[in-house]
Amino acid sequence: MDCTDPLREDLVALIQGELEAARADAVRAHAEGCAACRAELEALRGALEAARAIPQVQVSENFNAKLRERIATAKAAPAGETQRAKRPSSRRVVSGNFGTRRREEKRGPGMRYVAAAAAVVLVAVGVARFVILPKGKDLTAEELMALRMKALKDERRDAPERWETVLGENAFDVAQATQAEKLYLVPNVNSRAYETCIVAYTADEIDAMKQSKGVDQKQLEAMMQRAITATVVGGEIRLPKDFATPYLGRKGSKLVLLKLKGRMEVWSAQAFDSYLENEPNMEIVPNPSGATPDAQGVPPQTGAAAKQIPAV
Amino acid sequence: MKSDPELMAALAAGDEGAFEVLVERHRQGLVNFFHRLVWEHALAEDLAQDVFLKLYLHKEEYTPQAKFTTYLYRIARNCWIDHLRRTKSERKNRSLDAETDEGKSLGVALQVKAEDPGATVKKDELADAVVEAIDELPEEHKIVFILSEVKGMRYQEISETLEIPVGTVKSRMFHAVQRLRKSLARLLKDTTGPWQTLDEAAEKA
Repeated sequence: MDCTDPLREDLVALIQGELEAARADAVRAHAEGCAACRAELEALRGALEAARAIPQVQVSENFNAKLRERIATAKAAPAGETQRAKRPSSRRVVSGNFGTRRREEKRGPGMRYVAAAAAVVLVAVGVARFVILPKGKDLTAEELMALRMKALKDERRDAPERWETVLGENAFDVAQATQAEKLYLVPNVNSRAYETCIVAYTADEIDAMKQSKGVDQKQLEAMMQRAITATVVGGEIRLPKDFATPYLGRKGSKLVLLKLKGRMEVWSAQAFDSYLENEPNMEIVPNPSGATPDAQGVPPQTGAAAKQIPAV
Repeated sequence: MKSDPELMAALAAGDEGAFEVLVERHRQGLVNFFHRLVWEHALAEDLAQDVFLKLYLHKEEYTPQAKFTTYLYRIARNCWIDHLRRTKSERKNRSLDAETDEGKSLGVALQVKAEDPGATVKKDELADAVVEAIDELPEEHKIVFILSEVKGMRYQEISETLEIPVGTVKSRMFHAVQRLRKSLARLLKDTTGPWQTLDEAAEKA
């Protein structure tokens, strides 16, 4: 049972050395004679120590550059609009496989994602051709869909793994991605995203993982236990909102479907955006020609491949 | 080495280099302050930049009477309140979600797991639980807790920063740690770990 003495409220201040000497003595004396407060004191001390164990995050390399950019924008903005620099648009369509490479290693122009181009909308067409739309251009869903249809037409049929992403209202077209009638949806537990993503596996991929020696079967089992199945109807899969919402952001948020390392993933556009924002050294690269994607996939939280999966 | 007030004076006089020094000196603290509030790195940096932007745009308003960190974190507090206002409807949805399936807290907990893949299961579970427990604190308790435990501010400085009485700081801090303690006890009792909440979410779906 909890102690009702008002001194009890000073226990944390006592631990933190925030009490004046006389008050600290009084609280200590009380705690010595009160079993409940003595236990509480230890428990509170333990809680504080546990909380201190959470590591600090490091500031991104491009923090200062982005700040300078925002200051320049704010200075250039008319009076009254200087409080907040414009944030990047969350509408973006990207295609191709993704890889992380140091910027110094980049080969040529046209394949780069540069953090400074925050307001640029990248649209993927075909395998390696990226169309970069003018800065600040904001597309409607219809315009994006039209571009996507064009991209589909242009896409090389011999490279189905390099396909487009689609933005939609919690629904997307998977006709070009898989012929499967059923997909297993698993929240990606390896993501560092606040809004994490959902991975979609076909039954064949699950079977391949079950037979693969490189896959931790226990983790696979655990993954399957939390998977839900979804039926593909007319080339479309609808994520149950109650399932999608905790992992993909608020209801109605835009979704991005992409294939990473041969694996289908559904991200919220916002989370994907902040991933791109946060990874100045990431470069969107086309798959080397003829390369076979890592089609087996592995459970999200296991194996070396997990380390290659971009996370927000 | 110049003090913060000296750098602010230099900045007000047009020395842009002084601002760079201030940013270098305080960005880590600010980003971590916001990170404990939002648990999202990019957003935390964005909010920290909001603070520096305001500091820069209103550089003439600083008076050396106020301790610089108090001044800086008061701006941070205001940026945080602005952010809460801006995202009010979004958070309403999220908090409803959290009540039913703890999706948000789970994502947060997993973040720590992923950042430290080599940690033992026990350590992982503890870290998950701590993050989730902090996340569950009411905003006004959380900010006091973070200023105290992450920023290392004394109660007096927190009182000046948040413009609340020292007694209120003490009381909020007590309730924050007590709540943290209770959450940890509850979360760590659940030996099945975070997966259970995932399964529950999936079942509900």
